[in-house]
Amino acid sequence: MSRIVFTNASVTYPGGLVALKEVDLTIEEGEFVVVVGLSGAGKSTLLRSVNGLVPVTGSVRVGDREVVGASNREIREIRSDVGMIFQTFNLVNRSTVMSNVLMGRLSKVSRWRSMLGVWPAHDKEIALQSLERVGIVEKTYIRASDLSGGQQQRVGIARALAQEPKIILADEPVASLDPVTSHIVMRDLKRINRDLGITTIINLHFLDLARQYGERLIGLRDGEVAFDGSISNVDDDIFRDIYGRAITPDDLVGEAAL
Amino acid sequence: MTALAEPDLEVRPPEPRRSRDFVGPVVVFTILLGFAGISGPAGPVWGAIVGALVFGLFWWIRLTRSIADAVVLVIGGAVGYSLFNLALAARDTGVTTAVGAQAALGVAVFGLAAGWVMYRNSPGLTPIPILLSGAAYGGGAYVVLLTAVALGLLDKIRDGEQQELTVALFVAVSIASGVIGATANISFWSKLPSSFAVGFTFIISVLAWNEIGFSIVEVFTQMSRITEILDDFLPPDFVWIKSPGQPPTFNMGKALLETFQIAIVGATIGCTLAAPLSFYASRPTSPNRAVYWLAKSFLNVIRTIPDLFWAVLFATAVGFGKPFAGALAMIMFSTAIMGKLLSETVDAINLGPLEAARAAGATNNQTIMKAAFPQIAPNFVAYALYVFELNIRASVVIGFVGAGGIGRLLDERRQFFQWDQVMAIVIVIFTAVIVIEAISIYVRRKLV
Repeated sequence: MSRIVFTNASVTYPGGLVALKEVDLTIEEGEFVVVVGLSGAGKSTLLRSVNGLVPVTGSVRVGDREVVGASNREIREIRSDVGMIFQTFNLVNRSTVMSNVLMGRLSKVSRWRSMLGVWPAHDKEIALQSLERVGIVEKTYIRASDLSGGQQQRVGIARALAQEPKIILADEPVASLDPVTSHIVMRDLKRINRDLGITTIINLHFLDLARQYGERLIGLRDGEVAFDGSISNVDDDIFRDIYGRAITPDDLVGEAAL
Repeated sequence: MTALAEPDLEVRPPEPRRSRDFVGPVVVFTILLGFAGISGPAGPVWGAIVGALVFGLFWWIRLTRSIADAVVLVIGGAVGYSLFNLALAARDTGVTTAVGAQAALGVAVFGLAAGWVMYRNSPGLTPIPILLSGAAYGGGAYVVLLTAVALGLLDKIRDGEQQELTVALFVAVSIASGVIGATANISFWSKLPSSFAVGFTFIISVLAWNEIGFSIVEVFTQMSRITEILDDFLPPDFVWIKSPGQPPTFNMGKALLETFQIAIVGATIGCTLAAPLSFYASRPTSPNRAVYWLAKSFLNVIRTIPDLFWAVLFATAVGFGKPFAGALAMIMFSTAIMGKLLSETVDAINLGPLEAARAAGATNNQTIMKAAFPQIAPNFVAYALYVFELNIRASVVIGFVGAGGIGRLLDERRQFFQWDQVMAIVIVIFTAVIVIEAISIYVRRKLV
């Protein structure tokens, strides 16, 4: 149902930059996939081709729906099943945590109700449950800008969860966080993947995090898949091949666990 | 370095002297030169006064407090201005480029004097930029004067009837040369084009000054009439404020209320219309290209149409003197202003939340309402109050062309030459506008 299949998928940005070159990939339902690669290798583009935020050609199938050539309505239907988490959290700072999380319900409720802010009790309940799942339900009615970075990212995760998604795309979710908070967020994502069986694709650039939490690893280099396999088979040589250079301390987040 | 010097001063590098400190003295110098062209003390005395004033300015900005610098500036001013004045006298014998050269020499002398004082008191400077800037002062003056000759301006001055033209020309000369001189300290050649632009702008404004017949002299000669006018206007006749049971035409209170109502209706409806238009006229929140261009052009077009035109149009359409016409005009006016202010704010919003909303499957309108509007909501309210303020003022004026409100009353009283009543109305409007502004500013401050 929530299998993702890339067939010959390419992304060329309006400026002419080819960010993704004829990628073939299959991601099975419930998998926890970590994508690594240098910045500019196409990690973000790969994620955004799943929910149609970038102009993709070829074929990307999400479940039984096709992203390429989908109409606006079809794209919205695909997106409603795909939660997304961002490096910069992308919260509306002036709004409360609650209304940020309810953004995850926008595709599920009637347009006028959502735009006027008259949310059904059912949707509010889902939002509260999502916040409970990431452990910050006590912050529900606080302005998003009053939270710490780690708390903001958990609001971001709750917003994705409120969609009741089948797939979660996390674009560098810990790049703006300190090591301790990074581990908390990574563990949250892992737990959600296990408990709810949500297919999860995470872009990371810290290799130790990838090794610690990943199951399957996809390495991107210049928009092409340079490695695809189990994380247990990955050694420094493979990282070196993906990165095109030796591993440096900058590639590690450190502080293994709490 | 004396023993008493504070050690801190050595550690901390001094703040570099900015070149624009130069411009102030030169502008003062120039304006005084210009007025000296009309009448006043003899050349060297004026120049000395100017030099002293510039020293005062240097003293004020703590550049120098030494007597020697004062002497240099006073002498430099006297000599420089004398040369300039001689050039003025020479224009009677014929306008040539030599006139410009001579005047430029005068400016250069003063520029060198000021530059030398700058050099003495600014540790970071070397002598070469000072020489350059002195030369540039003269060069700038020369360029502007040459342009003036080419445009025939000096010929007009020769006719002797355009004293103000003389003033303006001198202002132009020295500001342009001052800018060139000041910027010479940083990089003479790179700043040259902008200095030309400044000089040219002033030349154009001098021409415009001439064309519209602006005359400072006349301002003063006509002043004697002001007592006659004051006799008519004072004391104001406030009986008109309250005439119970009368229609707005005979009741100032009612007319003012009508103006308020026009302004409120205009601001409310106008701002409500402008909000979606502004979002559609901004790239990241526009649903598609066609809507974007449509909304953007609509806002651009209504912005170019003056409120008076709307008032005349609607007064003709719905009836002369009816407040409804005023309200319609104010709606268009408010939409235009709010559209302009808001769409600039929308262009600068954080796009992250928009992407998040789209990724969650939101429609474009949902994205606008939930991810974009909350970001600009405080601005929107502040702008709305500001638009209301503008509406009050504008709806007074449009009353003159038949859009109702207190403006209509003012126009009527004026036509009957009842100046004391006009005065009362003006005072009432003035008070109302001040009060509304004060409230609006207070509320807006609270919002941020």
